[in-house]
Amino acid sequence: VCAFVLRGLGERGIASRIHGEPLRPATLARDVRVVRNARELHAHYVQHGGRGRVLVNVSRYLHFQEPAIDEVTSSRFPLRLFDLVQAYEGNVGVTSHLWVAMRRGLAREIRHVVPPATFVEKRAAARADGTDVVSIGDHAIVLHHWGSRRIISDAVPSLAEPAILVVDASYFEAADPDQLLREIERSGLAADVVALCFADDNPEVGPRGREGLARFASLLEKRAHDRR
Amino acid sequence: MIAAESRRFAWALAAATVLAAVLRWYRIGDQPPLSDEVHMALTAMGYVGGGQTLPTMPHHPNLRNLLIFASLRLFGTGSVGLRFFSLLLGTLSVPLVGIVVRAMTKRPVAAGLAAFFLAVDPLHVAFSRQAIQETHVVFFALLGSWIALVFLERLDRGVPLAAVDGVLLLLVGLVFGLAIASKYQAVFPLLVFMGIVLVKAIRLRDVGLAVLAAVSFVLVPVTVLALTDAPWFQRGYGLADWAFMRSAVFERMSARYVPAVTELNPDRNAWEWFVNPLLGYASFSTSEGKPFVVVGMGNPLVWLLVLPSALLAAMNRSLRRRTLTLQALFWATYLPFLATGRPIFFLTALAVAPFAFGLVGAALDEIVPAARRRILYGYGGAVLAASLFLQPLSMGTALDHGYSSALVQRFDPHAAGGPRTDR
Repeated sequence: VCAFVLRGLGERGIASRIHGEPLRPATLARDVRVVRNARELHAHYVQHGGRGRVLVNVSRYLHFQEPAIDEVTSSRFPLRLFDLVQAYEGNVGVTSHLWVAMRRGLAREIRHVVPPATFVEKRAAARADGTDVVSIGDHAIVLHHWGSRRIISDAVPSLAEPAILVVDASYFEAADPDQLLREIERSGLAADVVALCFADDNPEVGPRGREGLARFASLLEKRAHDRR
Repeated sequence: MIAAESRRFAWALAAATVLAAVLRWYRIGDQPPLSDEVHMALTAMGYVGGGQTLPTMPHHPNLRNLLIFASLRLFGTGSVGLRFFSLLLGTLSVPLVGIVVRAMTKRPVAAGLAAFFLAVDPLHVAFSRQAIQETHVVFFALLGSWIALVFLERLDRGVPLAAVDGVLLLLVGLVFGLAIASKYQAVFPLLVFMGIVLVKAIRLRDVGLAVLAAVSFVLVPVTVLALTDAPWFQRGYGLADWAFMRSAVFERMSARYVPAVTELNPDRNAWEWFVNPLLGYASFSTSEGKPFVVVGMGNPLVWLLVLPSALLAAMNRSLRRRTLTLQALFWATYLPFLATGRPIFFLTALAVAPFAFGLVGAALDEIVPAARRRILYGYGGAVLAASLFLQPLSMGTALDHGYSSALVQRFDPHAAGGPRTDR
């Protein structure tokens, strides 16, 4: 009975994942959307992202901070209870959109793909403060957010299931669009939702990054056209 | 004679339970919600609705979230709706500790004293009045211990095990599973009973009993823990993810423990629990623009007797024999907290308190001659007076009284540099 219950829990959990029709490689996904900032990105997730997904975020930044919301304590009864997720979504921003995506149940796991130089920095930081670190490898740092996996890597992952792919302009501050395209295709990553974010709300991102993203968008378009 | 003794014991337990209920439920509607409690309610709603374990105490298991959600649905968003299960299980733990100590020591006076000590214990009163898992784990661990003791008594009769015995042992696993799903510390008493049953299985050369024990003490609690995580699974996770989550969170809170924000509750060493009478755990909020602080402290007249009682129980032959299981439960629960390197805050002492009170009760029963039982009444009166003195701290009204206000100052977070978040 115990084995049956445990197996049933796991199977029901996996069955609760919701995603669209994936295409492999991810660069051929039907739903490629260009957005200007994190709020638009979040709105896109909410509309198309499904539930219980792996989200692959290609960016120089991790964007995984809890957004500030109004004080939620109440000093008297009856308690005023409200949906915290809505409060977080109201304040979603450039530093927090992945945190909110996980909090919303849209992402169950996040794969951060960062430029090689950023990966080296992140690895040093993980070694210095290992609070949420599970393991540190040559090309992947496995972290968790209260048990939900976050993996920082310098390479596009190969996954057994379709992902949401987000490419942020900041990535191209230190990386080449053509190379990213080749990497995605080589990885065999499948995706049903691809979002390209110009990060207009991120003052750290300059023209080089945005030009790189525009070039990546045109490469995707060309690739899709060629395949058609 | 035995019937009369049992009747007296039942009356004593009933009286202790009534006293416990009065101290826990008295003016509960007037006690404003603590910050933690508001977060608990929001966490419970978010957990059942979307499997999220934030914003508060995501490191603890999730039975608390299910119970708080149920009570909010049943009784509304007022004080009782928020705190119902803490109040109920906190009150019911009092007769239960009496029953458990009597089953172990066979001494009704020792058991009655243990129940009385828990009934009036200011730390247990304080956390029975809060929507937090501390009294849940005590209740389920005691209930699991009681059923385990009933099973062991049946096993010791020497007759072949019947189907009902198997059900009893599985029930032990189920109830300890609920305890572990409240807080992991319940694993320590579970290990004691697992050890006892396995030793008996080896002595009896009973493979079936050993297998049943393994299923009851390992597989059943794990399954119960996983069942209370069912809303979390609905975020798309499988069984392997669950194993990862549980081990990662456990490691985060043990080997890799770092308080999220500076933890300022001052009492964080388990070795001090039974030697320092000023220890406490403070929880904060504001009410009507004023600070509102609940401080749970131990009753020094009882807590300071714990280690001498444990020593006596180890040295006195007849007492040692009578309290063997009780001593095992006390030390098996206490030693891991002594051994750990991370801060252990005073509220965690509730995990050990029922067994500690059992030892104090047994020691007093041993050393006070039957002809001089009046001494116990006098001592009990002093214990009650000390608890009533500390009751305003448990209720959060200490700042209204000059004498108890001074005790609260010790926990002032501003004096130490900022607010506290982690437990």
